[in-house]
Amino acid sequence: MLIQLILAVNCLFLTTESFKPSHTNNWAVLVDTSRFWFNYRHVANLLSVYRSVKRLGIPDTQIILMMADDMACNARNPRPASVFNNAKQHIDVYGEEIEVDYRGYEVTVENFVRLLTGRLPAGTPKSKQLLTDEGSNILIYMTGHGGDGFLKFQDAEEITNVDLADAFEQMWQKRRYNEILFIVDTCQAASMFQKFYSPNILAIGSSLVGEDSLSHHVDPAIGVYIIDRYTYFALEFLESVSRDSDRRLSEFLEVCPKRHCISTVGIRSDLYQRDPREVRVTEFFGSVRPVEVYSPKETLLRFEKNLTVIPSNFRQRLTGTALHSPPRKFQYGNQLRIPK
Amino acid sequence: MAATLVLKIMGVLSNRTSGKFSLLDPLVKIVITWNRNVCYFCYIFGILGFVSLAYESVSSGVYISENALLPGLVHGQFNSESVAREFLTSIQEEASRYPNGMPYAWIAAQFQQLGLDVGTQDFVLRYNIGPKTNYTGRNVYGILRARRHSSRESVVLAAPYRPPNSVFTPTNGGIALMLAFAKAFRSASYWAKDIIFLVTEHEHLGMEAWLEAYHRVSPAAGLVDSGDLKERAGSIQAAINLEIPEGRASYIDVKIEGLNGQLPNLDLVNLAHRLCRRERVQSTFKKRVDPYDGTSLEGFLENLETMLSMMSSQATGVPTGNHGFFHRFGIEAITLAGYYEPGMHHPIRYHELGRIVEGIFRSLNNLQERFHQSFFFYLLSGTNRYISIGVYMIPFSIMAAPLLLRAVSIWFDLVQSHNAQKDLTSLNYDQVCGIIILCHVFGSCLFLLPSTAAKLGLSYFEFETDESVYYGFILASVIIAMLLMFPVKRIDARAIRCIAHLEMATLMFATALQNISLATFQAFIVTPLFLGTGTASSRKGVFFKRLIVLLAHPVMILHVVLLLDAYRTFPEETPPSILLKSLSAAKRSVMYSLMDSFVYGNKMYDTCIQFYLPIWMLHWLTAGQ
Repeated sequence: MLIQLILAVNCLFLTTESFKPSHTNNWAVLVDTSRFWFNYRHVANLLSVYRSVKRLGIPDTQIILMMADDMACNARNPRPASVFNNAKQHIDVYGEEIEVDYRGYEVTVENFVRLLTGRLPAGTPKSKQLLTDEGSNILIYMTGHGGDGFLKFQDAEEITNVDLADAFEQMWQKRRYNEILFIVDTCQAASMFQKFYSPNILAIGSSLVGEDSLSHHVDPAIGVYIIDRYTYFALEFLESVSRDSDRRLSEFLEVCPKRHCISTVGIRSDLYQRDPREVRVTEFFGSVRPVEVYSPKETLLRFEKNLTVIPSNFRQRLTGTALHSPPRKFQYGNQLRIPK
Repeated sequence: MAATLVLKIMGVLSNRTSGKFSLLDPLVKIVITWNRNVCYFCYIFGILGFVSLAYESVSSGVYISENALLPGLVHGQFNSESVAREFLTSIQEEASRYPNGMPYAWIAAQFQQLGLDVGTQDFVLRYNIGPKTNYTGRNVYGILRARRHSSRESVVLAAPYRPPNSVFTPTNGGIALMLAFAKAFRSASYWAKDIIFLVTEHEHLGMEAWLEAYHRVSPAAGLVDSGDLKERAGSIQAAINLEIPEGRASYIDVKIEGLNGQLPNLDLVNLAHRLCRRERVQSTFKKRVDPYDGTSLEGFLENLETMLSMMSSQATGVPTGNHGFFHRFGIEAITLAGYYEPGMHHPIRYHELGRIVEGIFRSLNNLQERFHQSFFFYLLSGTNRYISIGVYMIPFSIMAAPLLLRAVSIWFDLVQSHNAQKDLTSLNYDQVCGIIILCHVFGSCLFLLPSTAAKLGLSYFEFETDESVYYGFILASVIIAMLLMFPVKRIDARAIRCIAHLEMATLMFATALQNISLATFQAFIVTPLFLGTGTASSRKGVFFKRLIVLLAHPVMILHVVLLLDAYRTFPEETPPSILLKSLSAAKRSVMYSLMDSFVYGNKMYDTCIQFYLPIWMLHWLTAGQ
């Protein structure tokens, strides 16, 4: 038994391998900008990514889900209270445990930009705020209808790529992120990240400017297109990822080649300072973070009569130990089961 | 607009009172000298252009505009072939007990048993011309309420009931399909709109009465007393009318023409054709199949014939089915008529018919808004080729332009002669205005004619109402024509003719916005006749010109058209019998047109009496003068 205490320390780096994760927490912002029954596939896209991200460890408190939420209980839905992402209807991605943070008409450009920049009115519930800090890796996934340089929000307004770039710059100035993986699955998706100018953003778009992103297949029992091509193949990839996978981001960037997607996947990596080959997929999609484990020279806490006894000089001895002990061999704790 | 343009130019010209002409003078000379040729050219070019609309390169292929429809994506679930056939047998049995009427109670009971909200509506038509008879009827309808949605919107599935003794083909197959559909889908949880199943009596009258009661309006003269409906289902988004005789058909004909030439949204028409194609069912338009190769000469001629067929039914303003009365309420509607021709293997059965209707309703169910994406004004030259308003307006405008150009030319000429003559015999404005007003007053007075004629005809000659109205019209026309043969000064006549041309052009362009087929036929028939009424030199010339204008009289046009139609419908008959047939048809048609106007609001009679006849009178008066 090597440890009695486990402490998570901010901003400590592993020195052993070339693999240098730099974040301390993971957030996900998942946005579906369209509504109405015939846009079922956008909701299916979004919820599939939501389920993957939850499965890989990001908790609901750190996921902001923005969607019109008019699919599951739509009168036209022949499978009420469910949303499927596959014609075989294996997985109900709506399910019973879902927390939609911005629903219905709250999904607006203003709310989205305020969410990103943190300029929300006082009294906004914590679940509707993006409480990131400078050590947060954020996955931002947007789907809906888009055009050259804009994304259509709910048939009423649009967000331009310039607005989005400025929002990200505000986030950078306020140190609200460490790195962002920005994925957009709409028509002419690549136009959305053309104007970015803040560092540490890796952007993926499902189609280039002038191309349309296509849907994958129809579910004849429900009577709608059920999922889009890029997300379908991205999910196929993500199904092979688990919490302790070593799959790299470079593999994710190659998902959906032209023969599958028909549109060309666009990538913007000039703002991203690390090499995607050295970044794990779970650094964005999961909640895998670097954890420092150290074993103190002495036991700091005693267990007597069913109580944990905390000595009075606990704090001093704690920090003292941390400062003066020689560098230990750092390793991940048991829970993560990563091979050495 | 042309009048103001003319007045502006005239203002420029008439400023020069000293005798020196303005810079526009050469232009004026060109307009006057070339006017005749330009008019010929425009008229012929317009006709050729209109004919070329049927050509594949000019027309466009149809497509579904509304993304929300998602036509044919959902797998059909209708499997009630045997249920429908049982319903058909029961309907036929029940119908045989009421050879002249409608089994109201039985139909209402069927709706009740299916768990629908049943309503009935009694309506009365009170004739106001001739013997004051009343005509009563009753409609029966059932509403399938959407389970998980509030009843704010609905779609209608209708069928007209035809008793066994009716002259029309029966529609029991459609009613059986309606009942089978209601039974199969009453428990479905995915309806977002209510479905109203409607069975109407007395063809057009029943449908009009139901719609008037539903919307609580009386668009026509208020002859129909429709009562009120208790059961309602919110605003109606679309309607499908079924005219299917039995449980089988060889092809489905999609009928679109509505009242006053109004058409349903092209998306709905395309939806029906696409769903027929999905079920491998032959769908036709005007009972014609698309040509095999549209780009060949035969294909072009077939497309042209289809387009002319559509235009001839649209021009009358009479709907080709019960669907035609929905359009003016903003409800898109079509009729699906099944025709059975023996000798065809694999006729369409209830299975396919049910799937088609189900597919249409599932697509209508997906709609969030009324139809607004696709065209409301178009011509079809086949089931999959359309010509939009932006394309057909061009040849029409060229065809109708000669009247405007001639009016401009006459005005320039008048102004020039006014400027040129020092001792001018000026235009007698009072006489001109007086004549124009007089002719329009004559036209308005003719509205009083039918009831007077019917009364007089019945009391003195014991004629039927339609005969007395017909003879009354002819008599009135003759009297007016003889009254209007007084001589008019040449310059006044030309001014009157100019105004009459402008009026006719305005009437044609205004009609073109509502009913392009009627406007095109007007332009085609009337333009050469009215333009041929220029100044004549001798009395024989005047007589000849008057004869030309006589050909343009509405009664004359009516007779000629009916003669041609009789020849087309009965090609094997001898000429005298065709003539007799057309005469008897003409007698009835005036009365029908009148009643159409009073009961349904068909504008043909009104426009003819109020606008076209006065214009004709002006031309008659000034012919050759």
